[in-house]
Order: sequence, then structure tokens, then C-alpha cells
Amino acid sequence: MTLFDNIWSGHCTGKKDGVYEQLRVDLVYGHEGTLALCLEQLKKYDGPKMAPEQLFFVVDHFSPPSSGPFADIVRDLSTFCSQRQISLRMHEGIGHRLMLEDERVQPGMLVVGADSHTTTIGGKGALGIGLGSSDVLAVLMTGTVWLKRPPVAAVRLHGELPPGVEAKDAVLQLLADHGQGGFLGEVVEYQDDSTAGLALEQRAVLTNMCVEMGAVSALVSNCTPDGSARKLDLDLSGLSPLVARPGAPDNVTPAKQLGDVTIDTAMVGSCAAGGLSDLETAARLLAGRKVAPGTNLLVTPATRRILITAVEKGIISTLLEAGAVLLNPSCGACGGIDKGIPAVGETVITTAPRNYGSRARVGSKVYLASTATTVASALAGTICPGGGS
Amino acid sequence: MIIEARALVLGDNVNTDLLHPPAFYSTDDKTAARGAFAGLDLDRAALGPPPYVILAGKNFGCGSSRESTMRALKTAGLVAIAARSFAHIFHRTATNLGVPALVIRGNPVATKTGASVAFDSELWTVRFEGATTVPPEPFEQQLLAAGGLENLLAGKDWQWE
Repeated sequence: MTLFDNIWSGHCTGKKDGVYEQLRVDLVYGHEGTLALCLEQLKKYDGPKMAPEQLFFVVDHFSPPSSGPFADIVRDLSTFCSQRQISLRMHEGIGHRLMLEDERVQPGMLVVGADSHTTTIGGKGALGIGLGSSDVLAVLMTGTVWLKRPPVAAVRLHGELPPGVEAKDAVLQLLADHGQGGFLGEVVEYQDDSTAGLALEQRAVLTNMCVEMGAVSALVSNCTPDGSARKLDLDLSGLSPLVARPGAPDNVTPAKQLGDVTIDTAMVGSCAAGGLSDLETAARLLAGRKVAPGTNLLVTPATRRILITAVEKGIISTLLEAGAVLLNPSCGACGGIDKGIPAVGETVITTAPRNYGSRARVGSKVYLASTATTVASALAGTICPGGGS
Repeated sequence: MIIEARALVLGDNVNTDLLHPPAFYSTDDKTAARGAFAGLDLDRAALGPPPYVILAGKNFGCGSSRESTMRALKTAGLVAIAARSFAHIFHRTATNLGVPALVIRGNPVATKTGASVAFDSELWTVRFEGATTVPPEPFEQQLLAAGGLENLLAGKDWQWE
């Protein structure tokens, strides 16, 4: 049995229609950008029918709003939630990372979310599945979802990450080996047999970027997969700092083989980074040094709680003294929404999960990398591997 | 009914940011439709007027779940998509909006953007030279027949049977 099998069978209602099965949903995640696309319907049909404690609604994309239309969207969701006694976590940070922190999300739960990176919570053993707004509307009205049962790809992680190498490098290696569609329609179940065990923040990077590999979701588990799962193996000891070149997340090259790439901006943050360990890595590299002249380093802590801890530990002072620009916890700088939008022709290196050509801005060039590689590049002004290389 | 549509031919791993860049996000479908196909390097003169059928490769519609992407494409005149395979969220969203997302069967002869393709809106099949498409699953057919998920469930007071 896999953890996925346990969660699936524990949530089936027994109703089937061909290859589709109906499942009971424990929690629904939504943010203002995607809930806005079904808010009028929720009003029209007097929804949601699920209990308020089963809803995890946040404002994290337009946070705070950078335009009039965005402000109207935030106001409408806020009004809706207060009229229905639904808790709305406004400007507290990136929803996927808030769910990692929140005790309402427990291992073994089925969470659906109106956002592709809902898979991030697989890092703590909850099955997170991203859906579009129409699907989320139906879940909010019925408490159930119809899904095709995905096959499991079991990825055994062993060995130990070398110094300066992060879980992001492990994901980039999987993307290099298997491509963007390498796990299409599957659930990736990682067995963490690494020497020291990966911390929650690193595990969440693995499950976050399963979407970029085509997977429906991902989990980190201690279960041993049975014969039905496709089995793969990744030796963490053999990994090195990697970057994904502009255009696609599977456009992967070892950072030290990249050649001379001058950057305009480096970004640390997003749902694929921005944890306390990322900020600690940044502070360790930046302590007593300065970001390269002419280079911007933007840092977005993933949540308010992480930011408060980083302030208390003196991490934020270290970053600011090195010349970093601190942004409030939000999705803005990753989603091409606001803050840090590149000029045409500019080059960005980021810890974000995506570098699609038109995401940040058509005409910009975006490289993906670990936190260590991103910060090392900010110090050099050119892309260079982080840590021990 | 057979709809004569114009083919929009795309490759593998076409993501939603290319189909509809985030800068064009809007809750109003007509406003969002201005960004339809805006991230693609597309010869609009060759494509011609709607209706359109996309012919694509593997992992079509990967990336963001933003439903504004599919709504914009539908508003711009997209009536069906035929691809080698689909990203999970995009396939569901297209079906939920009543636009069939169909898996290609056979070895299609290279079709150029702007060429004519036949879409059967009752059997949900796309036929083009050298290939056709696999019929949708029965569960998907009920969504398509109702014109989408909201239509289906609102008509049944949000009860699944």
C-alpha cells in the first residue's frame, strides 16, 4: 500500500462512473484570484454548502492590491466571507505555505484547491489537488469531487544532499531526467530514505514542483510501495546545483556549466521557497557582503510567521544590510502580478517554480534555481552555483 | 452538427501562461479574451477568423489553474481541443466549460495553422488528415452534453444523483 492508496480509499464514497470515482473532500483552499471566478455563482446558488471550518480562504495574489480592479476583487471576497462567517486570511502570506503551518491541514486529508500548487501540502502528507474554479464551485456546493484514479510513481530518495545543494536541485534533476510531462497524470509518492531525513520545508519543495513534472499531486510518505506503483530512485548524494534556463522548467543545466550569464534581478521567495531555512541560507551567504552593483535582490518571506521569526533572529537585518529589497509575504513577485516585474530583455534568476516565457513578462528571461544558487548569483551579478561547488 | 473550424497547430508542453499571459487576467470573459493566445508566437493572418480547433502535442495546458485562460479561449472562439495528452487541471476545466478536450488517435498528417478541420459537436470528435480523436469518457460526455459542469449541477439542485 502507498499513502496515496490509503488516502484515496479513505475518501471514496463508493459512487463510480466509468473511470471516475467520487471522493469526499476534507478542506477547500482558495485565493482571491481564482475564487473571484466563481464568486458570483456562489452568491447565486447560496453557497458554499461546506462548513466554514472546511474552507481555507486567503488573499495572497493581489496582496495588497496594485490596481483598482484587483482592489475590487479583494473587497468583494472580503465582504462575501464576512457575511457568511468564513475566515479569510488576508495578506498573511502565500496560502500553500500557510497550510503547511496550519494545524487544520493534517496528514491523510484530501484537500482540493483553486490553484495548481495546492500539491505543496503533500510535504506534510496531505493529498492536495489543484482544480479550476468551476470544479471548486462544484466541490463547495457538494462537498465531493469526481476524479480519475491516478497511478502512483514511487520515487525513493536516498543518500544526503551535498553542501549547497537543496531539494530544488533534486526537483530540477527529476525534470532534467523525465521532462515536463514525465509524471503526467500520476501521483508522485516520495519515500524519504535520505540519511538525515528532509525537513518539512524541503519536502514541500518536492511536492510543490510535481506540477511542473505533469503530476496530479505528490506526497512524502514512509509507506513502502507495492507492485502496482512505478518505481524510481534518486541518489541525493550525486546532485549538484542546477538551473532551468528560460522558457521551461525542464530546460536544465548544471549551474557551473552555464557560462557567463549576467542577471538584473534575483528573487528569493514564492510557494517553492521563502521558508525560514531559505532565509537562513540567504543570510549565511550575504552576511557582511553586498549584492553586486546594478543587481536587485528581492526577498519575499512566504508567510508572516516566517517573517516575524526572521526578524527576531536578526536575519532580515543581515539581508537588508547586504542590499536586499524586502517584500511582504505574497505571490506578487512570482506570478508576474506586481513588484519585481522585469523590463523587456532583462534576466532574472528566481527560486519560483515556473519560468514559462510569458509568465513574468513577455520578452524577459527567467532562470530557476535553488535559494543558494540564486543568492550566490545576486552576490556575483552573474549566475553561479550556490554553496559547496 | 459538423462545424468547419480553423486549426491552430501547437507543439508539446504548451502552458497556460503562453495561451493567456497572467497580465490579461480578468473576471470579465470579454476583457480576458483580449489576451487569448497572446503569449504564443502566432501568425494571426494565417489563423483567420473563428471558430478554432487546437491541434497540439503532449501535456497540453500545463501550468497555472487559472480558469480565466480557458474562458478567454472559449470566448475567442475555441470550440474543441485535440492533443496527444493533456495536463490534468486543463483537461477538467475545458470539459467543465463545455469545450471537449480530446486525445488524438492515429498519426496525423502535418496540418498547418489556418487549415480546415471538422469538429462534430454531437459526437465530440475532431477529424483531420490521418487521425481522429478518442471519444470522451461517459462522465465527461454528460458534462459536455449539459454545456458544462455548472449547467449540469445547477439543473439538478447541486445533487450528484
